[in-house]
Amino acid sequence: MSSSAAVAARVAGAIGALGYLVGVVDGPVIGALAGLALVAFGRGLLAPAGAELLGPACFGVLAGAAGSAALRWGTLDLPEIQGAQGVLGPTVVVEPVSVAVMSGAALVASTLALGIWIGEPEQGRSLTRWWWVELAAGALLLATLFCGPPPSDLGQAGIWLGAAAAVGALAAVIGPPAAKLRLGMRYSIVGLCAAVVAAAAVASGTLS
Amino acid sequence: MFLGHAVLALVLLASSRTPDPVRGRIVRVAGWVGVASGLWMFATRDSLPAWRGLEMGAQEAAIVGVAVACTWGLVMALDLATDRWWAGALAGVAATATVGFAAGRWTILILLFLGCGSVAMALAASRSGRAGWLSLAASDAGLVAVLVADVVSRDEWGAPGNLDDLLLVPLLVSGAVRAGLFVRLGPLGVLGRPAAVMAPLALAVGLVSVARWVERPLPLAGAGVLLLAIAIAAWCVLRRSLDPGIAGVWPVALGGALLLTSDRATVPASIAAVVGMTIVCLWPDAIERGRLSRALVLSGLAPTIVFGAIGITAREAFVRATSDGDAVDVAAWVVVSALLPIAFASGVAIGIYSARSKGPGGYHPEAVFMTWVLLGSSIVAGFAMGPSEVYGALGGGPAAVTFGVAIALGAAAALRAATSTGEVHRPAASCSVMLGSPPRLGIWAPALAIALLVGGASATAWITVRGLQQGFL
Repeated sequence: MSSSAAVAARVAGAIGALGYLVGVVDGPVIGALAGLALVAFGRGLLAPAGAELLGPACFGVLAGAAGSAALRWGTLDLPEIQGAQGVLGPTVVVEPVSVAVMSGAALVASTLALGIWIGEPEQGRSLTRWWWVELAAGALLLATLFCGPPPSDLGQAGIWLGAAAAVGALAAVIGPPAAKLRLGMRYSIVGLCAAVVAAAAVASGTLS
Repeated sequence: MFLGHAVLALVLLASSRTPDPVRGRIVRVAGWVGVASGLWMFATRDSLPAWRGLEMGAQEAAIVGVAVACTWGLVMALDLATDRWWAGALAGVAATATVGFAAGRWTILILLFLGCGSVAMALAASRSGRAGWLSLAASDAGLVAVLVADVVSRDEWGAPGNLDDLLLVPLLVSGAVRAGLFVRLGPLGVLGRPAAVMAPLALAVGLVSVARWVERPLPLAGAGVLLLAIAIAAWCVLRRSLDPGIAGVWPVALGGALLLTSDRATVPASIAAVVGMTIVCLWPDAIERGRLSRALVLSGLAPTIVFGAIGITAREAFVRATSDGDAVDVAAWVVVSALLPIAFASGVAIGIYSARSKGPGGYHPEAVFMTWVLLGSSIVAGFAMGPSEVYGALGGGPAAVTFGVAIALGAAAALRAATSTGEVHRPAASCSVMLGSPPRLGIWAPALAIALLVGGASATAWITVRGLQQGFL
């Protein structure tokens, strides 16, 4: 039962998140996070004992990063966040400098968390390649929030997808070595990432 | 619609002398009729006709309808053995009382219905533990005191609109006790006992009190209750132990916080709390087989109605947190906005632990079946309320379609994985489940409970006589 439920949650979650991220639904970032929460639940069902909360913790970091970007632009809607970046530039480079720097730090921290999350070894024989889709959803989310203009022309679409590919590649590179770290160390790193993201959210909320 | 559950209670009382098999069938038929009646109230919440002094608002009808359906479901599903008929009869009385409490347009009517419900609940709770009984009696006495004080202070007999600030605190505390925000007290003090069938109704009275008489949003109070929910989740996760009497606070606190914070989330948040409390009541009888369905409801994941309520509230909180206004208010909204993602992640953690808790344990097939029905209902309810309600905050119709398609594809993938690999992967258990006992109280507790109930009844009688003398109708 757990295996089937894990498969269902991971597939449904990734598809739901991608529905928001590729623009099928013009909605808030909360919808994409809902999909990633399902993924965290599905992976947590089969994770080794002790590592089952790594997924929710990493998800929390991604949710915090989403909150930081939303506070930066004053909206939760993904199309509006992308629209603002299309006019003013990516979140990580738009002034004030302190907010841009903190946004960049939030992007790095959440990419690290994504890598630790996705790098967790697969349990069971089902969905052994599905982590690519989950990684794509996570990378698209971060790219959309921090360096994603709306894909209104080829150039803008290239920037958005290129940023997603870069984030995804970095997370994929981080994942395997991170999985070899001791569990306590991984939780500590995720905790540090959460602190960075929280600081970025405070900076975005107060200085923007 | 308003008195039907009392009729069902009379039928069950009349069946007390019949042979066990016959009585069992009568209880089952009455239970299904009660469930259907509750669902009918939910479905027709916008167009319920008024009857004498009773007129149900749409929000109250949705909350009470779901609570009534859950209560009758518990009457059928819990392992009550020979206690089923009397638990059902008292549930019927309490259901009618709750309907009247929610629909009353005159304070005296509300008090009389509350009194009937108190008696039914006290009778059930008195056989299920002193702590639960005393806390429910105290909350009822508190509610009576608030309503009587409101009549005296306003010198009006109609049901209050929004209560004065002075009466707000006692109302919220009474509602919190009745709803189950206190560990192992109120409805959580009778888990595993026959009186657990009353838990959804006890909770509904608390929720309706807030929905009807409290001017919202109350971001500070909402943030406080949200903190309580997160603290309970953290406690369960860090101790690697799930006690329904403690973990049961989680769904109620989450729903209650969303209710206090957002007027728009009133119905989904209340339904989330009622469904969560019901699934906690089923826990002792469905420890092993109900793990997954319980996990999905408690986690608050999409596309359950719990997530809908979180989405609506998150959106509202974010808009208010980024708007100009009173500094304290804005700060409170910022806190709510910051706590919601933490609460959501905590829900995922609670869900994983609940799904990976140690079996085996209590097993009653009907209870297991009902946990799955509740999971299905919490998903369907979000869609049934229409795209402008729950999914309005998430992107409207396309969001509902996307989640629907995602769930269908997820189910298809799970089916394919199960049939093609035949894999049964059993991860190690993450935590244990143990139903702790409520606080042990001395003989003074029943005496105090009776004194509180008598006090509440006396106050109700006094205000009723005074109202009749003045011709309140």
